Amino acid sequence: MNANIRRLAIVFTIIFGLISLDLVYYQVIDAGTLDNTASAGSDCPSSAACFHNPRILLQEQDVIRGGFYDRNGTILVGRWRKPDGFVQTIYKDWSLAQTIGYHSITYGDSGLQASLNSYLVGQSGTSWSQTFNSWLHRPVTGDDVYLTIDDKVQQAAVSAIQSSLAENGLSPNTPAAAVAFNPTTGQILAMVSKPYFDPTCLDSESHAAEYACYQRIEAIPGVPNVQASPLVNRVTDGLFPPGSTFKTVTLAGGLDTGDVSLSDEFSGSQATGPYTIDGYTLTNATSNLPPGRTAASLLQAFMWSDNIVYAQVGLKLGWSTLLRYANGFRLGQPIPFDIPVSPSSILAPGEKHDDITLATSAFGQGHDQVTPMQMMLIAGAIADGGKLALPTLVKAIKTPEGTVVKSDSPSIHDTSISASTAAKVRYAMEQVVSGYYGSGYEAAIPGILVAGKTGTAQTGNPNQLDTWFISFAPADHPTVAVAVVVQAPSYCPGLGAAYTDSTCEGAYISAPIARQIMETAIQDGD
Amino acid sequence: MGSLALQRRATRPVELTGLMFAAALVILAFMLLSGASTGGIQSGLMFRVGIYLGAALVTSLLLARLVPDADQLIFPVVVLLGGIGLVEITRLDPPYGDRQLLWLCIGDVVLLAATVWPRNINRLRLYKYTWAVIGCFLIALTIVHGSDVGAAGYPRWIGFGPIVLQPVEFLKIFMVIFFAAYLDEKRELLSGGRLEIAGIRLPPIQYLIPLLIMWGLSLLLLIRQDDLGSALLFLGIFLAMLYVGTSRPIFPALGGGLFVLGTVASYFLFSHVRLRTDIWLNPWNNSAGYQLIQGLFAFAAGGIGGQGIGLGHPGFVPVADSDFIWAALGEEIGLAGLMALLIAYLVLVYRGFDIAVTARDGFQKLLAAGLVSVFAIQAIVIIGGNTRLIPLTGVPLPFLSYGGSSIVANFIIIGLLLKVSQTVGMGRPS
Amino acid sequence: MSVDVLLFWGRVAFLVGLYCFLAFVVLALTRDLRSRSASEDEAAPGELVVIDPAGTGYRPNDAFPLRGETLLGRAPDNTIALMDDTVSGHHGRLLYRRGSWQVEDLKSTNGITLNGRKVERARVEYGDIVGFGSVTVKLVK
Repeated sequence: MNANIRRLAIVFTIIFGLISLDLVYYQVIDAGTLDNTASAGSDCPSSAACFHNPRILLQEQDVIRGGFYDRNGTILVGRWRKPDGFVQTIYKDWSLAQTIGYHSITYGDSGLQASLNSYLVGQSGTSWSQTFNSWLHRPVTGDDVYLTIDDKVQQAAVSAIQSSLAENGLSPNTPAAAVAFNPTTGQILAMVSKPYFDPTCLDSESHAAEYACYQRIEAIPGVPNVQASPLVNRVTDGLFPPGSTFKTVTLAGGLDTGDVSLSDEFSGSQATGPYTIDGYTLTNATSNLPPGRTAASLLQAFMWSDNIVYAQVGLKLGWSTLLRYANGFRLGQPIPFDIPVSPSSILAPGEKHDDITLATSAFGQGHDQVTPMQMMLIAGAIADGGKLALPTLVKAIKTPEGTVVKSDSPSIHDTSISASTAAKVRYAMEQVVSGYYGSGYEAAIPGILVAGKTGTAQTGNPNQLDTWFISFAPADHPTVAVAVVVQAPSYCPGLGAAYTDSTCEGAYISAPIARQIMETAIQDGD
Repeated sequence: MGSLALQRRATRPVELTGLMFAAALVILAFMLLSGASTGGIQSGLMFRVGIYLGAALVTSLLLARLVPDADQLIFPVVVLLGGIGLVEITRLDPPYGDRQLLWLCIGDVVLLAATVWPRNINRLRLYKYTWAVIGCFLIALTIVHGSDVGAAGYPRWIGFGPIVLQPVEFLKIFMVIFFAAYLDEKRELLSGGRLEIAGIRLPPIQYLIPLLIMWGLSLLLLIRQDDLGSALLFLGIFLAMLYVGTSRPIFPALGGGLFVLGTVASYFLFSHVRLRTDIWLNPWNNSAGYQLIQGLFAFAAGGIGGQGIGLGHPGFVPVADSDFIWAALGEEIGLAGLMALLIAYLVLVYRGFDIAVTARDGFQKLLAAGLVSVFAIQAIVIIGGNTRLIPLTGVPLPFLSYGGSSIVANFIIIGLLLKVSQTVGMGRPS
Repeated sequence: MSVDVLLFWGRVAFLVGLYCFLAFVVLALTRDLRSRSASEDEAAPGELVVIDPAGTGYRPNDAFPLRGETLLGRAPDNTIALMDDTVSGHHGRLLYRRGSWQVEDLKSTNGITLNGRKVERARVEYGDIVGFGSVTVKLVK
């Protein structure tokens, strides 16, 4: 019997061992996931009846969330403890509302508040004193985030948009987006998505207050006929037809393959139109030639933004080449960034590779859908000799004591266009700004070489045009690349008789905005 | 020359040392609780500690008179476990803490009583059928007249005037006594058996029939009562004692088969077994999985070092004071604390089996082994249920869970073990 | 020191203390275990020499080596089998514990004698004569 008793004892010991392994699993291995299971849609494995960890809410109230600063230490989002103990987040700069994001117990987190949450609550990148504070159950102060944003450039972007809208007689609530970065390092200098809002009231003490706030935000007036929710980040999530700015890609592809060269001549209806492809006709209106001209070189067609010419370039390249070069600029690919970016595309999946779409895509219509972020990256790639720097928003994350726990490291990729091709495209873009009848003249900065491209895209809504401008400067050693888009109506009442017609165009609306941004960025010179 | 039986010693020094240690830890735990809730030392809490430890000290001194040669390591561990359970229950719900304290003190008395009566432990075997019948009768009574005082989902309690009991806790002990007595008597018969049919040597199952009847009856009563956790426990005890008591491997094999058959059948027969199994497999998709998931959150919040006694939020787990006391402790004393408690349980189990091994009498061996199995299987079932190793059942965790009957029954078990150990003389120092 | 720091170190002390307590218990356990197993299985100093073999078939002066625990009786599973009718199936046992010998009666019918006197449990010195029923043996070094 004794032997059996001993064996039974061993069985129980083994079972106890299994139990301790199970404990280790839930208390150590899986603890992180369980600790953060806040609500359905986060780490919860199933969506049906997902359970909240009520401790998270309590932790929220104890944590002093980290703040946001611009690259020079100017405070963008701070926090202070109200007399009743509630820690209130305050946004100094509403223009970064969607990028930095809101923090709300009712609505969750968005933007950087969401993606960097674990740093902001002092869970990642912690110093010893933060860890010790949490052991002692003292309120933990989260890490602060230093953005690459330059507040001066950001404010220049905001006021530039405001004044451009005013001068052109457009509603101040017109949706617009502008983004600028340093093309050699990838650091974003400014990022504006209009309309924006004040996210402060979304972080209130009660669900009711936050709900009321949300209602107010949704009621922000837009413009008729345009989808204008202020919660959308138009820079990263807004998809627009690029219009003529896409000719940059088409030109780059054509020059790089050698299919075309800048001096190629187009004349007659090949320059002026009308031009028919498979029964679809491009009219003279889309040729955009200066009065009296009936021919243009490829370079001039770029300067003047001649759709007819570029339709032909596109047809000459063919789908696979065009797609290949687009891909090289990361068009159609996910763009890794600190907040989610919608991928751009020139063809929807499953669509046919027909000639009409090819031709219209080549000048930025067709089925092209791009984000302003994407266009800025393209400008940046040309600026940097064919190398595309991936964008980054976060310069550094520091603990409350000042220790750096995470810092930026640039990530550069090849676009598949050679440096000499990039130089040629750059030259063409310089001519857009400073050449004869170049459409980008409003972007010229005295004393500085500016390169750019205008675009005015039809949206399918007859009352709305997307007016674009992409550029970089100084063109010979670029320190800033910009993309601006305004969702303008088709009629700009502010344009006087000096202009041929009152159609809103990228040249008039977006180029000046880009100019002011570039000026400030170069002045501030980092 | 030669000499008489060894002198009766009036002191149990190892036990006293262990008690001092355990007392210090329990006092420290209460001080931590006091500090966490009020920032200072609450005299009310310390008074309660004093009562608990005072009772333990008195019990130890009396044990020195009653069973001086018995094992000296078991009681300090029990005092520690009881004290930690008391701290956590007081933290969760002070009125329940007071009641638990009362039950622990009653438990001390019962422990002492179990060591003196019966004078000769072997007398228990004479009334084996009586025990079994009383146990079954009590369960039947509970089915008819019982109430669900503690929200178990079925009537588990029965009240006699002001006293409310859970008879199933005592049935466990009665059944072990019965099994031990029966298996010991029939040992030679069961080991033998030359019955051959078609060239296969059959085990003499016929001798097991009365055992199977009593066991089956209690099992059926439990199932009728919907107390499936205890039914599971009984299967386990039966299996363990059968293994120990017979030298033929066929018996535990058959028992094991019965076990598997039983669990599978119950899955198909009972909707609440299906519910429990579904919750176990995927608690996230089931609204009834709330308790288990909150328990898991509590374990995760505890991490390795725990949040600290009184500093966590174990109150979020439903029924934290009994079913999920392990999770509540897990949040407050962490993995480090729980592992220590597991080791403490293992010490008790080990010591109990040690007593069984050194016992010279077959009945005592089986009794000790069976009682230890009750203890160990209970701990395994409820801890396993808390940590999703097996489906959850409503079995109380010995000494840590809130529950008067459970405390008393477990103290009886300890008392009987000490009594057997006294007969063996294990605690005798050099 | 503020309360929360005190509480923190208190928690540490509690966990450390738990393990110290367990170490103490486990140490006591293993000490006990070691002394017992030493006495059960290893060879122990002593021999049993037959004085009166009665009906066992042994001869006087036959010697048996002793173990830490030696069972004596008529049943074949005893360490030393004594096949005499006055000896019970499991008559008694000799234990060597912490330097001394003890004899215990395992509820035999005819009892055990130590130097002629009936005993149930007693210490045995070298030179003592122990009787199991009619069989007598002597403990020698």
